[in-house]
Amino acid sequence: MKYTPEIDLGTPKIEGGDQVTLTIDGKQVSVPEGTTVMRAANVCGTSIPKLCATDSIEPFGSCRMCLVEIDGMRGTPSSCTTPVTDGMVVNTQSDRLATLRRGIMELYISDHPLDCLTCAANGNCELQDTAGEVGLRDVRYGYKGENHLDAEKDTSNPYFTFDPAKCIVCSRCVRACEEVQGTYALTIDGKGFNSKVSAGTADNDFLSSDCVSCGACVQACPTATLSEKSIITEGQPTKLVETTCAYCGVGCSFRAELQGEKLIRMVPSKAGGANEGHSCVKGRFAWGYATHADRIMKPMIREKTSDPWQEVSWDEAINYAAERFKAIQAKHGKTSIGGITSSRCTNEEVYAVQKMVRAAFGNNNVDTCARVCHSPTGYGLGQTFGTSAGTQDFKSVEEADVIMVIGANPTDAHPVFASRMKKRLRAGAALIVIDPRRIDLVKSAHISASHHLQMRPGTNVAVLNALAYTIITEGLESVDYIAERCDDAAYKRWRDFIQTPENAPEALAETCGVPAETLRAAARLYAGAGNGAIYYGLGVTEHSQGSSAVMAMANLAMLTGNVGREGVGINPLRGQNNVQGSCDMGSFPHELPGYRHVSIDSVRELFEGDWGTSIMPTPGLRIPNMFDAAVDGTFKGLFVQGEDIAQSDPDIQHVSAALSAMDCIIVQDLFLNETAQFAHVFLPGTSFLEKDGTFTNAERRINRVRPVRAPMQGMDEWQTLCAFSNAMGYPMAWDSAADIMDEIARLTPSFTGVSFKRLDDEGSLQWPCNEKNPNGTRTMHVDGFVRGKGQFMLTRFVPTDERSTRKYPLILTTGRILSQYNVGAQTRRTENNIWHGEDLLEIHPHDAELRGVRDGDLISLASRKGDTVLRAVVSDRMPQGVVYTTFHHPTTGANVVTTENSDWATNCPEYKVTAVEVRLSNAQTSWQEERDGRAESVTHILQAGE
Amino acid sequence: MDAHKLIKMANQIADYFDAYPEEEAVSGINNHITSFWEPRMIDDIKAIAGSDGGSDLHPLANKAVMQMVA
Repeated sequence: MKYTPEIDLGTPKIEGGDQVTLTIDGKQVSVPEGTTVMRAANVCGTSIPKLCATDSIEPFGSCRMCLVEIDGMRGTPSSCTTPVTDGMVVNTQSDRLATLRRGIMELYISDHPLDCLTCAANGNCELQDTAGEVGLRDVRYGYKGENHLDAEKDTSNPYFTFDPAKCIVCSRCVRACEEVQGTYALTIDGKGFNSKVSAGTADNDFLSSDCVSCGACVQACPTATLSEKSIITEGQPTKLVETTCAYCGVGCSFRAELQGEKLIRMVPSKAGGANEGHSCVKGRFAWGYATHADRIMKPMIREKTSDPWQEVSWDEAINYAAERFKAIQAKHGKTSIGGITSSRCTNEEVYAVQKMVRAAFGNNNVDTCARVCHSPTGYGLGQTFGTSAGTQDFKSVEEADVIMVIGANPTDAHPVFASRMKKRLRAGAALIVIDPRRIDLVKSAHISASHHLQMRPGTNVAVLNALAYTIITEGLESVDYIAERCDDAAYKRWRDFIQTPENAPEALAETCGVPAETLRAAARLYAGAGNGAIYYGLGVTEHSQGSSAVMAMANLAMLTGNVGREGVGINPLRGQNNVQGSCDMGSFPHELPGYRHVSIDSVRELFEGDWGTSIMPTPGLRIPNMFDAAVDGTFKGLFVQGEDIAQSDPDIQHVSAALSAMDCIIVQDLFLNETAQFAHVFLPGTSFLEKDGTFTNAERRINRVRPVRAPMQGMDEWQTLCAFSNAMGYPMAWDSAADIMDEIARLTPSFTGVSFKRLDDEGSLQWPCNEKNPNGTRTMHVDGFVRGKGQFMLTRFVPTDERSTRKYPLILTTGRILSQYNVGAQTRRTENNIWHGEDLLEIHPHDAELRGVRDGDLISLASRKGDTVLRAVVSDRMPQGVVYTTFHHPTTGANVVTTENSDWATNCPEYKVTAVEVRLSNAQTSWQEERDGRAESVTHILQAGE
Repeated sequence: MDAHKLIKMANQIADYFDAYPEEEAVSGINNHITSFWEPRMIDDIKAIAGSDGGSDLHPLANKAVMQMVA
């Protein structure tokens, strides 16, 4: 569609309230009480000139451009700060107002460069537009007076520039940083004529400031002061495609702004249900990887992994892959091959992979990367509530009174949701953080956690049991809610279990490393909240008791009546953009789409009837089981869609041994990733900018992903899958991605009402969306739990086998940071490396001193599984005895150190607890040298005909 | 498959269900393994339970697996 700027109604929307009717320029308009005159005017189609107002931030009333006349009111009040009243009569145009506005604009322009024709904002500048609107024709003061025109431009940020010469000091950037993002990196320094926007650093540069590059300031700027570098280089966009971000599970909606097929910038969409106009550095700016030189555009094959890659046609690659897979099955049996789906792919692509595995491979050996992140969420919430999904939408946090964040670091991993959460915290909600690491939320600008339970890694269940014990024994439970909503027998049994002395805070304090009184105080705070909301991440799930911890949280929420309305709930913060969707689509080896077990005859018959083939009634292999079976010699072929298991999965040397033991590995990806080093067929994939489909975010919101250009490698991924399935002997075909969604809707009860047309018409839909919930579902379990009565589950604390020892006295926990994303395949190929060019090990000053480690030293990080070398950062964010690193860079290979331990119910790896030792080092490990050699050789490509 | 790993997995499941009364625990372990394990894993754990390796299994896990064998 043709590019048009987003409509700006001047001041934020007021929710609810009584309707107030007023008259603006002779036209009657009704708006909610509390709405400003400016917004009311815009709602009825009357634009009032403005500069300091924009509808993403609260009105400020500084520019005085939006003055109006109001009957019975003296002077000319600013419309952005004047609330409407019933019967008010407003006049927005008069000679007096025109003179005043022109006079103000004259002052602004007297200290502004007159380079409009060559300015980056030319054609999209509010200052320019407003000057035109007020009819400014000359500046009586001239341009030779004191001015800021020589102020130095700051180009330090890789994605945008700050040009103070063009600044009108409207404070929109400062207020956006405070109100929208919540970082408070910017301020207005100085007074009067010397007032200027400042990043608060010695050099006043954005790069070394607290700025997190979310882009809110750039978006808010009404001039060219803050401009995307891509706009400066390329010019203004002319075309627009609404789509969805391909990074984390927040699933932000974006306007991809283009010139033809060339992406000029990504701007968060105000209509996006998940993000409502906000973004983070990844979604807003880190999209350059889609056209990076490393991207592979042609299919490739090779007989052995020691051979160079040979570029071939699509037909040749697909037939070659199918022949090898068929040969494996002929020799080793039907269950000797399988596939892995990716949460970075669309629902339609994931659905196609699992269908291909079940119908064309003839087995259930399909699993997804959720195995290594949120599979315990599926199990835990399924057992207690009856469905595998978060209970709330993101907006719900605005109604929370107490927010408990467990094992999650939202400001880094889910930054756009974190901004919403921080806004609520600044407005007065209390915060409890349960995390071994002092994450930013514990203490940041205008936010301070009431309690930080800095527990020992691996003791989540003990902490949660201690909280539940306190609530029960102090009589803080929600008796009526439990009686009405929960299974009585299960509750009574759980109650008997939780009241045993072993669950008392005093008994568990030493185990957890948290004082009993702190545990009790946190429990009282949560239980006493009107609305208590729990948000959690992989710090809960990636443990040997990950599933138990999820159930323990669900128990807590039921115990306190905190499920089934706004402001409460259990909210998994999903790691990747389509983790929820890939689980929904039947990616697990025991479930068909819609979380229905393969052993249920009626479910299989439904799919068998539609697909025209039989489906195995027994579960397939999970990812870690695939690796074990490969080493064992019974699993010989793997199709890997868009995942890099050789970097992301734990105990890399075991993964490598498994991959090396297989006869054929097919990788479908953008890049020759770590897994491709072990592959025999490479099928180039599409970036999110070429995909047509849907992503489902952590709030069950199904969003459209729309292509801004045709697939650069010539084929949609689902078409590749159809071709491969056909070559394997099972005919699989659709006319379009919309047809795939129609099939999903036909076969999946929670998706019955979903179609591309409805999504295009309505923006997004939250499942379940069906006959019972025709418009989708914002909040789950409102009238009762999906399973009927809520089920309290027993969650005895079982310590992990992974213990610190004399040889490995420290505990390693891993995570990710703001600027990089998971294995880094995308973000490492962007300018984001400026913030995080290598993985670093955070170590407590005491532990560092004991080992003679100083900031920046090269250190060896070793566990019983392996060792790697990286640099140290001495930090007291970690408690003594615990170290932390990220897994974004393959050269570090953090997962060479992590172990085979996993969650008891789901085999989700125990990434968060590994016993390690840290020593000074001066050279790479042998594993790193070997890995670098493989990485070098995998790039050896022979072109067709060579 | 690696017997040591399968035993550990079965024992972890038993550790969870150990909080429940024995009959329910055995049934829970049985149901969990049947619902989530691939047949070759089930065959292997059955073989382990029926051999000397069975002594390494948690008693509840052993009982649950032996029920599958029966």
